[in-house]
Amino acid sequence: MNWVAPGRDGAALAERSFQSAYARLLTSTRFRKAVFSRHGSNVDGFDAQVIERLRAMDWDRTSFYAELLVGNRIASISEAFPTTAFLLGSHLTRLARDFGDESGSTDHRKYPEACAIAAYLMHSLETQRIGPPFAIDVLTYELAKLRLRYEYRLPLWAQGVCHSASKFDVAMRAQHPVYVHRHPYQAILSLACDIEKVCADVAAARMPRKGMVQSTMLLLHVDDQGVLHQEGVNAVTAAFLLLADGQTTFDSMLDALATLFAQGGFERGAQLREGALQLCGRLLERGVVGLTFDVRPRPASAQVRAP
Amino acid sequence: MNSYADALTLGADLCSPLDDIPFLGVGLGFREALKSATLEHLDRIDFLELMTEHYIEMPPHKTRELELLAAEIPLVMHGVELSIGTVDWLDVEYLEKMQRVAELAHPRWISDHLCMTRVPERAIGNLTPVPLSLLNCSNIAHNARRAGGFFDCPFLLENISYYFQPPPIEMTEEAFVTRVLEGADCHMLLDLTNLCNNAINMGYNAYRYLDGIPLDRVVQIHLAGGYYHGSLLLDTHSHRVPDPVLDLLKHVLPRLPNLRGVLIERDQNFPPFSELLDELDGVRELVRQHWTVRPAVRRLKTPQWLS
Repeated sequence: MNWVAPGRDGAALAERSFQSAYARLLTSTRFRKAVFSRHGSNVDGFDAQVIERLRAMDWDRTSFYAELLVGNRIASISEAFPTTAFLLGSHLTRLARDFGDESGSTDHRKYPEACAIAAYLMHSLETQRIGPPFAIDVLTYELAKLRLRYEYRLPLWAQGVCHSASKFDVAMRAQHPVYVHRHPYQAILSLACDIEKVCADVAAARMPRKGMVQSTMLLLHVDDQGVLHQEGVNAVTAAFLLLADGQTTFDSMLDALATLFAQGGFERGAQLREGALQLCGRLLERGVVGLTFDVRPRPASAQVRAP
Repeated sequence: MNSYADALTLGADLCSPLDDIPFLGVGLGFREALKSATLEHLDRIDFLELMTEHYIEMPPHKTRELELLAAEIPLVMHGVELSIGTVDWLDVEYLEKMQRVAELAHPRWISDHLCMTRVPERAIGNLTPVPLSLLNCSNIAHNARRAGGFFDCPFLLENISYYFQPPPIEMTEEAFVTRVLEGADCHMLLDLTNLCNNAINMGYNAYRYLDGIPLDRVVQIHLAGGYYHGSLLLDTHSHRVPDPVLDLLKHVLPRLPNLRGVLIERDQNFPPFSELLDELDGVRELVRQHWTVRPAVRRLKTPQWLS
């Protein structure tokens, strides 16, 4: 952040220190209790003068205001991560308070603060036994959706990336190297719960069953109007998309898929090729992948001879 | 009380870029929850106030929305995160982002609050009062003067609602506001609801406050309604504008030579949109009865209902 300091005389420095302590007083329950408990003249490194100024404030109203801020934070969490907030239940208020006791956020704007809170909630879910076991997956899912909605930019695709199934067909027949690019604003999530069922239960204000375990792979992507699309995908499609980095040729992707799924009976042959061609065609239609082609004349040795 | 003629004289002395700005009329805060109804009834809303933060680093569909709005109706920008009261700092990066929003919105003016919302390491998450001290006066005036230089349109500071005052209190709030506005040579967004709330919560006379601030610097008025929590009147923008606030409006209107717009804010507990439109009409009627447009401003485009 780019700050300008107009002056740094003693009074201004003292006021800066006061404002830091003041901000903590309003956002950290632990610090507020330490200040108003009146034990000791220094609290958390702030000098006695600063602490005395804080202690001169109206305790009731300051605390009331601080609780309003916690309420605002809970509202922010509920807006950004509604299903997670529901699953956290009574833990939510404590976590919203603890967030202030720990680092808090440095940017109160909706998206930056949501990301900071999500990081804190994720850490809490990983280290504390709170909420159902699938709460981490739900937060991962809700954060991914939020990120895609806020972070997508236009143009979605780099210049020259094509979405024509017929051009794909022509290039494949001509044996030109084809590079598959996955959508730049997409997320592939591997979740251990039936996320759609969980969200539906929560939308109906029902707590989902704790034992709801189901391996789910989800593809999320955003279109150029900012509309988020979501669909279940299988492991092969997910692998195909992960391999579609725009640098690997379609043929090399087939090799990698054959290796990845060798145990599943995949063989590098016509059947895999045909299946991958159809998959790529479907993904092209849905705008999930794009293509670039290398149409330079191939060296004579690489030309395929007519039978 | 200054006479209207006195006010005109005072207004004429202001060297400000207000000359080309017409009286916009009575507007409404643009909110996502009210978006479709607002767009349907633009013919009954004179101008819209956008929350600056809703358009900073936003995805493309929000940019498109901004461009469409700017083509349809006069806009003003209203921010909450500049934190102009933070000592020794001004977030230049943030101001540059505001500039980019302004390039698309072409706002008639830009406003933020006379308060702090963060220190570098921590966001407070709400509009928070600073001590009414000389040091803070000069800091805010310095910051506001510098912030105003970032924009081609007038920069306004708004009085906030608060429930306590941090020490030291070296002057009255009106003296503080006056020093800041004059030191920064900037304009004021006078929030009459905040004033009314503070008068009730902090026990002072709102009418005396109005006598103590430079009313010739008031360009915009905010109106909203809150509710009581115990003995505290909360600033929640959740109810109709109450009668005591409308009484303040009637009282102050004749003394505002440079007024360019009156706006109703509604952020929650949304009523049927027709009620908001009726409320706008009611305020229009008060403006028509109690305010006289200056000849210089009348030469610019004036809302038909005022003619």
